[in-house]
Amino acid sequence: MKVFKSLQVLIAGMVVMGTLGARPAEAVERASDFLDGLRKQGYFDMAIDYLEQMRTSPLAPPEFKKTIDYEAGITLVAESRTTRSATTREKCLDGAREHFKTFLTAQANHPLVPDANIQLANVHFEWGKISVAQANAPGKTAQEKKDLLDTARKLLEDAHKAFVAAEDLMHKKSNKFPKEIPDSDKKALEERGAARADWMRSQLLLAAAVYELSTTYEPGSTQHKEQVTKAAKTYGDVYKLFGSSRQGGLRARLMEGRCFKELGDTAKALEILTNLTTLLPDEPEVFRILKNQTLVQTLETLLLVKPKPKYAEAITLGTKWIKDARGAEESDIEGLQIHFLTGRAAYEFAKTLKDDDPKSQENRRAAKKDFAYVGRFDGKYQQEAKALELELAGVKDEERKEPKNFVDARDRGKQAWEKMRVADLQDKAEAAEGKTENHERLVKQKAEGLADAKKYYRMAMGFDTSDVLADDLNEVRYHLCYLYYLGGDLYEAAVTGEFVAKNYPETLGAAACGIIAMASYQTLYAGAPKNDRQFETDQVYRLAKYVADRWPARPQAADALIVLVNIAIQRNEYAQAMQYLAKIPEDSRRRAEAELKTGAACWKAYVDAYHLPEQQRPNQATLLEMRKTSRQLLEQGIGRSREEVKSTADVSNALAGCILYMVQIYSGSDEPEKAVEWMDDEKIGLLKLIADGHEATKAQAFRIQAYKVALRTYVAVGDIEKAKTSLDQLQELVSAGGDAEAAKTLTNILISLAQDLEQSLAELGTEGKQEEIKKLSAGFEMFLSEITKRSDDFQTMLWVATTFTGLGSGLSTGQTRQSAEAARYFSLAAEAYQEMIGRCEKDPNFAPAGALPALQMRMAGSHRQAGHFKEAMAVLRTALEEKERAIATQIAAAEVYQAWGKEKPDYYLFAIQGSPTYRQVWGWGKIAKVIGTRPEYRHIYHQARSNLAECRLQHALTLTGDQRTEKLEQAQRDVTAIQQLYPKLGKEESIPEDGKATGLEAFRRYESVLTKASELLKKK
Amino acid sequence: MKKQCLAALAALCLISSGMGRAADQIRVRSEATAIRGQIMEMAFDKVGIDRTGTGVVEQIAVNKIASISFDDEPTELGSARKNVADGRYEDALTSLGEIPAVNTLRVVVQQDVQFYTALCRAKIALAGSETISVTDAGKELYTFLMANKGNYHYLEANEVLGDMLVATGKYDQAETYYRVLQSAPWDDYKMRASVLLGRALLAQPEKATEAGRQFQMVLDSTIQGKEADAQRLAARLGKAAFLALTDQADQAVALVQQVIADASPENTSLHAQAYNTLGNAHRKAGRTKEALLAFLHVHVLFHGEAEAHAEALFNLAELWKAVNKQERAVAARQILKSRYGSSPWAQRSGG
Repeated sequence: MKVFKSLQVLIAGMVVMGTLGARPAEAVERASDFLDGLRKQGYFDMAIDYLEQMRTSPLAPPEFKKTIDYEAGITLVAESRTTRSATTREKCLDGAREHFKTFLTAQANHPLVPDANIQLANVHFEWGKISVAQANAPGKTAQEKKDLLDTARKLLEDAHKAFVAAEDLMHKKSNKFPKEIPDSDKKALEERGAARADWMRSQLLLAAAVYELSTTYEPGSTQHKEQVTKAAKTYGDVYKLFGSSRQGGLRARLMEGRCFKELGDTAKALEILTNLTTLLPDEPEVFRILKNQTLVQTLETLLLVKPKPKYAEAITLGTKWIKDARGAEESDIEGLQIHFLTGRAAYEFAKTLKDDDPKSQENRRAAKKDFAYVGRFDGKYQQEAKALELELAGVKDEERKEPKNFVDARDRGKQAWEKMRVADLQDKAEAAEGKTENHERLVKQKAEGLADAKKYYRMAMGFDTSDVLADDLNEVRYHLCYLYYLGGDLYEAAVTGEFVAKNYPETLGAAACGIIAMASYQTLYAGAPKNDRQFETDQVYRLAKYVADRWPARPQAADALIVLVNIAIQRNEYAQAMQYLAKIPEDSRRRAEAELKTGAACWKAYVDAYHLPEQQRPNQATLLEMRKTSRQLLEQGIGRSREEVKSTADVSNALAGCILYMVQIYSGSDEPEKAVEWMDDEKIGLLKLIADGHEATKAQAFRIQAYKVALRTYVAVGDIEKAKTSLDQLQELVSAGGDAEAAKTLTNILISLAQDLEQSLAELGTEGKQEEIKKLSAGFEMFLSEITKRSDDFQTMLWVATTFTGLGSGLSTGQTRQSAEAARYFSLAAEAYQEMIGRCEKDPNFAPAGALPALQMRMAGSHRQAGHFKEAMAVLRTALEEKERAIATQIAAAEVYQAWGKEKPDYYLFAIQGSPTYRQVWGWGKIAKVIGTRPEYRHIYHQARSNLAECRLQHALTLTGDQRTEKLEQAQRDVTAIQQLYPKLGKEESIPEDGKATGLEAFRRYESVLTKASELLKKK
Repeated sequence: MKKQCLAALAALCLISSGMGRAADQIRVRSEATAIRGQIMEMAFDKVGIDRTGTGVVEQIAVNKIASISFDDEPTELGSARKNVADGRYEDALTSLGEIPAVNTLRVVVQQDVQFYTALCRAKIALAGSETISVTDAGKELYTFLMANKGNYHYLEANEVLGDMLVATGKYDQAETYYRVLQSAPWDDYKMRASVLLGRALLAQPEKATEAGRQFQMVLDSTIQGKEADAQRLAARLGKAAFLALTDQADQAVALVQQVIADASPENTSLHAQAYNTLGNAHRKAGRTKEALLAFLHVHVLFHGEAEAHAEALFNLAELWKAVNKQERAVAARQILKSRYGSSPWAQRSGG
C-alpha cells in the first residue's frame, strides 16, 4: 500500500528536516549531488563504488568522508526497494545494516546519528516485511512459514524498539521549544514546526511497526487481533495529537480506520473513514492521493459489512470517483483498486438479484466494464479482474482464444497455476478434516490446472521474448520447472531448473530451481537399474554441491547438504559426511534430521565394521571413534528433535529408529542407566513409543530389537523384574508371529543377544573397564539363572550354557590360570552341559539326534577352561572309549593334557605321546600320524605337529642342564623337519583357515617354537 | 596584412554611410558605463568611435569590447544581444527573426544581425539541436566570416567556427580558424587560441606533441589577470589530456584533480571537460570503474555541456559494455544518438 511506501518519504523527510545543515558543505567535489544523481538513475552499484573511492580521494570534502558509511547504507536501502531479486534485496539490507552500524560506532557524536538509528530500524522493518511476504508466498510448508514469520517478528520488534527510542528523542527535541513563540520570531517558529513534524513522523514509524507486527500472526488469531488493536490505538493517538492540521495526522487516521476494518469493526471503520473523507481536500496532490486511499479502504469496508454488505453505497461512491477521476490517476494503483472494488460490488450485488432483473443486468455490465479496465494494466488485481471479466462474459476456459504473445500466454499459465494450487490446498484441508466428497473433483481440477499451466507457460516461452525482462522469463521457467517435476517430466525439470539456477542465480526462485533439478535426478536415480546409476548419482551430487555452495544461507542449502551427507555415507566417506553436516546451520530445521541420518549411518557402519573378519576389521581405536561419533550425532539429533515433540504422533519413523540405536549404544556401554532413560523417556522413550502403537514400532522386527535391547539393558542395570517383563514380551512377540519355529527364533534372538553381550564385554575388556565387566556379567548371571529355572527347552538350555561360556571368555585374561570369575563361569557352563547330558540320558527326545557327543565336547572344554582338567579328561575318556577315532575328541584330550602341563609338566609328555594309562588317548604324535599327509586334513596335521613342538618346548623349559638342551634341540628338530617337508609353509602354500585361523595359528606356533628354542640354545 | 587593411577600409566606408548619428555605444569590459559616440571605423581588431563629434576617433581594441549597440538598430537586435549574453540562444534567434526589413538597416547593423543569427544557430546546433545541424550552421557562420573580415566579430566568428569544426570531428580544419584567433594581437586571445588549438591538435594523435607544446606555452605565460588564470587552468587540463594520451595516466589524474580543486564551481564547462579528461586518463590506465565514475560525473552533473556530455555518453556506452551492463550501455547510446545525433561521438558509436 502506498501508505507504507510513503514510509520512505517519512524517513527521507526526517533526514532533510531533522538534519538541515547536518549534511556536509562541499567546496570541491559535488559529492552529495553526484551521489543523489547516481541513486536517481538507479546506479546504486556505482554509488557504492563512488563512496568507496571517496574514502581516499583528495577531492572528497572532509565532512563528507565522515558520512560515507551512512550514505552507503542509504544507497543500499534504496537499491533494496528497486530490485525484484529476493537474494539481492536481502544482500542490500544486510549491507545497509552493517554500514549504519559502522557509522554509528565511528561517528557517535555526528548530527546524523538519530537519522542513522532510524535508518537502521528501517532496515529491520523492511527485512521484516520481506520475511512476511516470503512466508506468505505459495509453496511454503507450515514449518517454513512459521520460521519466516518468527524471523519477521524478531526483526520488526527490533525496528519497533528503535522507533520507540527515536520517537522519544524527537519528542524531547520538540518539547525544548517554549509553548509561546512570537510571530516575529520566524526562525524559532520554523524550527519548532520542523521538530514537531519530526516527532509526528517518528510516531507514524512506530505505529507502522506495531501494525506490521500484526502481519506476523495468523489472521483472525488472538495475537493478530491484539496487535491490530494496539496499532489502531497508536494511530489514533497520533491523530489526537496532531489532528487534521498535518498530513501525518490524517495518514494516521486512515490507518486507524484500516485497523478497525481488519478487526471486523466495520461500523467504527466506516465512521472514521467517512469523517476522514470530509476532511481531505482534493489539492495538493498528496492530499488527493490520501483521499483516494481512503476511498479504497471505504469500499473494502463496505463490502465487509455484515450481515449485508453495502453494495449500493460502494457502487455509488466508486462510480462517482471514476466519473470525476483526473487523468492518469484512474490507472494508478488506487485508481485500479477503486475500479476493481466497484466492479466487485456491482457483481456481488447483481448476484443477489434475480437473473431477469434489469438491475442485475445493468450491474453485471458495469462490473464487466470495470474488470475489463483493470485487466488492461499490470498489477495486483489484473489476473483476478481478467478471470471475473470472462466469468461475466460466460466464457468457459476451453472457449477462450489462444494467446498470441508472451504476456497473454504467461497470464493464462498463471491462472491455470492458481486453479491447480487452490484445488490442491482445498483437497489437503478437507482431507485433514476427514472430508472426501470433493476429493475426486479436486484431483481432476488439479490435474487440469497442471496441464493447462504447463501448456501455457511452454507456449509463452515459444513466443518472441527479445523484449521481455529476464525476471519475467525466469518466473515462467521456475513455474515450468516445478510443473515438469510434478508431472513426472524429470529430465525437462532437471534441465530447466539447472538453467535458471546456474545462469540467473540472483533471481527469485533460483535456489528452488536448483533443488527441483536435484530432486528430479534423485527420482531418476531411484528408477534406474541398481547397477546403472552412476550418471544420476553424479548429477545429484553436482547439483547438491552447487546449491549448497551458491546459497549457503538459504533453507535450500540445508536440503542440498542433507543429500550430500547421504551420498558421502553411501560412499563410506564419513569424514566428508561430517563436513557437510557441519555446514548446516545449528538453527536450521533440517539440522536434527541430518544429525539423525548421519548418526544412524555411522552406527550401522560401526556395527558392520565390528563384525568383519579380523584382517578386514578396522583397529580398535577407529572402532571406538566410530562408536563415539555415532553416539554424539544421535544424541544431538534426538535432543533437537525432542524439543519439537509434543506427542508420540510427532515422532518420525527415522527418529524412532535413532532412539533404538541410542538405547543399543548405551546398553552396550559403561552407562547402561542412560539406556534406561532413553527407554523410559515420557516423550520419546522407546517403550513408550511401542506402548502408544507408534507407526515405526509396529513392525515385528523393530519390536524384537527393542525388547532385545530392553532385556539386555535391564540385565545390565540389574533390574531383574523388568528384564523378566522384557523377556516375556519377547517370547510373546515371537510366538504371536505365527512362526512355526517360534522357539528356535527366540533362541536365535537370545543367542544374538548373548553375542552382543560378548562383544560388549570384549570392548569393556579392551578399555580395561573391569568393574563394568563384573557388573555386566553379574547382572547377566542372574538373568541366566532365571532362564535356567524357567525353561527345560534344549535350545534355551544350550543358549544358557553358551552364554556362560561367553561370560567366561569375556572375563578371560588369556593366561593359563583364569581369573576366579572367569573360572566360575566356565564351571557354570560345564554344569549346564552336564545337566543337559543328564537330560539326554533320561529323555532321548530331549536333544536333537547326535547332540550328545557335542555336548560332551563342550562340557570338557568348559572344564578345561575352568582349570578342572581331571573332570575334563574324565568326560573325554568316556567319549573316546566309545569312539576312539573321533579326531576332534582326541584333539580336545591332547589340549587338556597340554593345558594341564602348565601345572604338571609331565603332562606335556602325555599331550605328546598320549596317556600311558588310558591307551585310547593318543596325544599329538599319534594324531598327526593317523591323520597322515592327506591334503584335506593338513591343517589338523599341522595343528598336531605344532602343538607337539610347543609341548616339547614347554616341557624343556621345566628342565635344566643337558636334559633341557636335549629337549630344546628335539623341539628345534621337530620344527626343522616339518619345514624341510613343507618348504612353502606359510608362504605360498595356503593353510586352510577356519574361523579361528587354526592353520595360521599352527604356522605361527612353529615359528615361535623355533625362535624360542634357538634363542635358548644360543644362550647356553 | 594588406587584405586586412582593405577590409578595414571597406568597413570604414560602410560605417561612414551612417555619419551624423549620435548614440552608438561600446560597452567595454570591466567598465561600468558605455562609451557613447559615433562609430567611425571598424576593423577585426579595433573599433573607432568619435565621442565628442569633433572627429577625434578613439580606437577601442576588440578584446576590450563586451558589446556594441547602434543607435539606429531595431530593439529586437538589442534583446537578441542580451539573450545571447545570457546564453538564451533560442530566444535571441526568435528576436532576430522578428526584425523587419533587415536589408534597409545600416550595413554595420545588418552585419550584427547576420552575425548574431549565425552565432545563435551555431550555438543551438552545438547544443544538439534536432532542427539545426552543425554543418548548416557552420556554413552560415563561414559565409559571414568570409564576407566580413573587417567586422569586430571576425575573430569571434573564427573561434566559433573552429568550435563547430571540432564538434563535427574536423579537427585539422578547426586548426585553421584557431590559428587566425592565435594571430590576434592580444595575449589573452593568444592564450585562449592556444588552448583551443591544443585541444584540436590533441584529437589528432599524430599531433599530440604539438598539442603539448601549445598547452605548455600557455602555462609558461606570465600574463596576469582573471582571464589569463582561466586559460592557464584550461591549459593544465589540456596538458593532463596530453599526459593521458601519452601513457602518463597517473600524472594526468593528479593534474586533473588539481584543476577540479582549483576551478570555480560555476565553471561547469571546465568541470565537464575535466571529468572527461579524468575518465579518459583512467580508461587509458585500464581503470574501468574509475573511468565510469568520472564520465558519470559529466552525465549526472554537467549534462548541460553538450559536447562534453556527448563525449561522456560515448565513453559510458563502451565502458558499460565492458563491465557487462548491457542495458546501461544501450541507454547511453540511445541518449547519445537521440540528443547528439550529428556529433562525432554519435558517428563514432555507429549512429
